[in-house]
Amino acid sequence: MPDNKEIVIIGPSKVGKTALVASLSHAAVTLNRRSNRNNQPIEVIGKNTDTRDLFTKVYQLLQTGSLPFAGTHSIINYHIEMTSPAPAPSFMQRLKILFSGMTDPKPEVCNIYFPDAPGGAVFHGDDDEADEITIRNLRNELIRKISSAFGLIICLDAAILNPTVDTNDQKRAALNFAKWLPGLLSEVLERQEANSTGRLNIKRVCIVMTKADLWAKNNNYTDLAETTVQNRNGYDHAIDILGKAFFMGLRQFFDTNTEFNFFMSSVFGFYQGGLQESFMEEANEETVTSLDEWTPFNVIEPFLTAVDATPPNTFVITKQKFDIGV
Amino acid sequence: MYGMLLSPTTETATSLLASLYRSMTLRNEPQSEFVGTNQAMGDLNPIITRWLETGRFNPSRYNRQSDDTLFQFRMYMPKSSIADHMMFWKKDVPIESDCLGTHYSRLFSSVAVEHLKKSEYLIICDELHSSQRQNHFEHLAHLFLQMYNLDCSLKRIAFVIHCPSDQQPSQESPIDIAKRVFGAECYDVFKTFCKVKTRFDFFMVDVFNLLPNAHHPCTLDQWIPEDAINPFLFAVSGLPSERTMTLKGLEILWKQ
Repeated sequence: MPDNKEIVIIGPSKVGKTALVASLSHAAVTLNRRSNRNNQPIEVIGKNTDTRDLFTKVYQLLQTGSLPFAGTHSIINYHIEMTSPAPAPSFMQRLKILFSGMTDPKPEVCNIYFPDAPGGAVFHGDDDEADEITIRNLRNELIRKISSAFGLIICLDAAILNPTVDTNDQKRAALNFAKWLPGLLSEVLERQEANSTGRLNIKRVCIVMTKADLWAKNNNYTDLAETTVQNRNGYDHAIDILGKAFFMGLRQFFDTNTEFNFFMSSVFGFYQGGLQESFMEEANEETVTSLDEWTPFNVIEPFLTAVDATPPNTFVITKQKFDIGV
Repeated sequence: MYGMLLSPTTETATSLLASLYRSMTLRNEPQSEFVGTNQAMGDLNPIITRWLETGRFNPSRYNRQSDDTLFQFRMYMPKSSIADHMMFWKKDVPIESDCLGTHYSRLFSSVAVEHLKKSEYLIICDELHSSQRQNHFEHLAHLFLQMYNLDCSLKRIAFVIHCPSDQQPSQESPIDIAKRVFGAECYDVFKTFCKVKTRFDFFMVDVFNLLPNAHHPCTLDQWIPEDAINPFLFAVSGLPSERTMTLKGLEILWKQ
C-alpha cells in the first residue's frame, strides 16, 4: 500500500459534495470527542487557502442555518490532509513490538483531493450552461487524481427517494449517474498505467448518500430520524436509487479485492434523535446553534474507511466486488 | 488484438457497442467482464442513457468523431479448461481489443484499410428491417481490394443482424437471414481474401429490448439487450456457437 494514500471525491452537481468536504474538519473534532482519541486524534488540515476558507465558511451554518456555498466560476482544487490512526496491529505485529522493541505503528497521513467547478462536477454533455473548457479542465484534473487514488468517494443524494418526487425524475437522476461515471472511469483506464489485471488502482470505493436527514424528513421519520437513518441499509438505499444494473456495470472497473462501502450521511446530523431543525429551510434565521449541538453524521467516517481506518461503531455496509449488483 | 466493426451506418454500430456493458452483465457470470478503456467507449454512455431517457437514439449529438473511431476495451473470460484451473498461480489475463468502427457512407480511409490488414476479427452488422438495402458485396470488395494483399489476417468473421426480438422470423435460421441481408455473393470476397480456416458465425441481436411494460424514461435495470455481447465473445475470445463454421461450410450453405 502506498505511504500517502489519496482520496478523490466525485458526484453530480448539487449533491452536497462541497458541504461534505467543508464539514470534515468539524466532523473530525466531534469524532475525536466521541471516541476519546487523546493520543492519536484524527486531524484534518486544509492544505491551501481555498480549503481553509471553506472550513471557516461552514460555521456560518450555525448562525444562519444555511450553507454559504454558492456556485464558483472557475475550478477550485480543494486539498486536505487527514491524519488517521494506524490500523490496529495484527497478532504477529504485536509480538514483534513486544520482542524487538519496535514502536507502535505511526498514524497514517492521507491526501484528499476535491476539484470543484461551476455547478459542481459537470461533465461533457451534462450541463449546457457550463463552459466547455472548464469542463474539460475539470475532467482532466479528476482523471489525473483518480489514476493514483487509493480511495474513491462517490456522492449521491439520498433524498431522491421521496414519495413526492416524480418517479420519472428519480429515473433521470439515476441515468445521469450511468451517463458520466463509466465514461470517466474508461478515460482513467486509457490514461493511467493499468495495474496487473488491467483495472483501476483504487482499492476502496465509498458510496456516500448525502442528505440522509432530508430523506428521513420527506418520508415522515421526523421524530426517529436518527435511528431510522442508522438502521437504513446503505446498500439497499443505493440500489433503490441507482438499480442493480448500474453497480453490475461499475464493478467491472475494479479489482476483485476492491471493497465497496455504503454510507447514509448527513452534514447537518441529528439533534436529540430527531432532525436538526435549526438547519432546515423553514427554521427561524435568528436562532443560533451552538457548536456542541452540531454533530455531523457519517461525514468523516467514509474518508477514514477509504484509507482502511474505519472508526469503531460506524454505520456502514461493506460489500465485496462480486456481491454488489446481484 | 485488432478488430473491425463494419456497418452501413454509425447508428447500427454505435448501438451495438453501447450495449456491451449491459449485455455482458446480463450473462451473470462473475468471471465474464467487459470494460471500456478509452474515451470513445466512455462517450457511448451519454448516447445510450439519452435513449433510455427519451426513446430517441441519436449518436451524432455526442459523437465527436463520426468516422473511423477506435474503440478500446478489455474482456475478462472465465478459465475454460481444466488445465487452466489447475494452474491456479496464473493470473487471469484479459483480452485487450482495439476495434475500429467504420461505416459505408464514404470511401474507406487508409486508416480503415491499414487496420483491416492487422485485424484478427471482423464484425459486419446491418438492420433486418432497413429502409435502404445495402450492397454489402460492393463495399466489402472495395475495402478488401485496397489491401493489395490476398493473405488476410482475419481469423473470425461475425455477421450481426439487428432486429427487434418480437419481429425475428421464426422459420428462418440466422444463417439464412444473414444470406438474405448481406447477400450470398459476399462469400466471393471471403473466398478470395481469407484463409480456409477462417471461422464464421451469425447472430440476431436486439439492442433496444426493454422489459414488458417499460416505457421511457426507463432505468438501466429495465433494459435487456438480447445477445448483443455474443458476436464479440465469438470475435474477440473465439467462443464458438453451434452455428460456427469455416469457409467451406459457408460455401456449402451460401453458394447452394
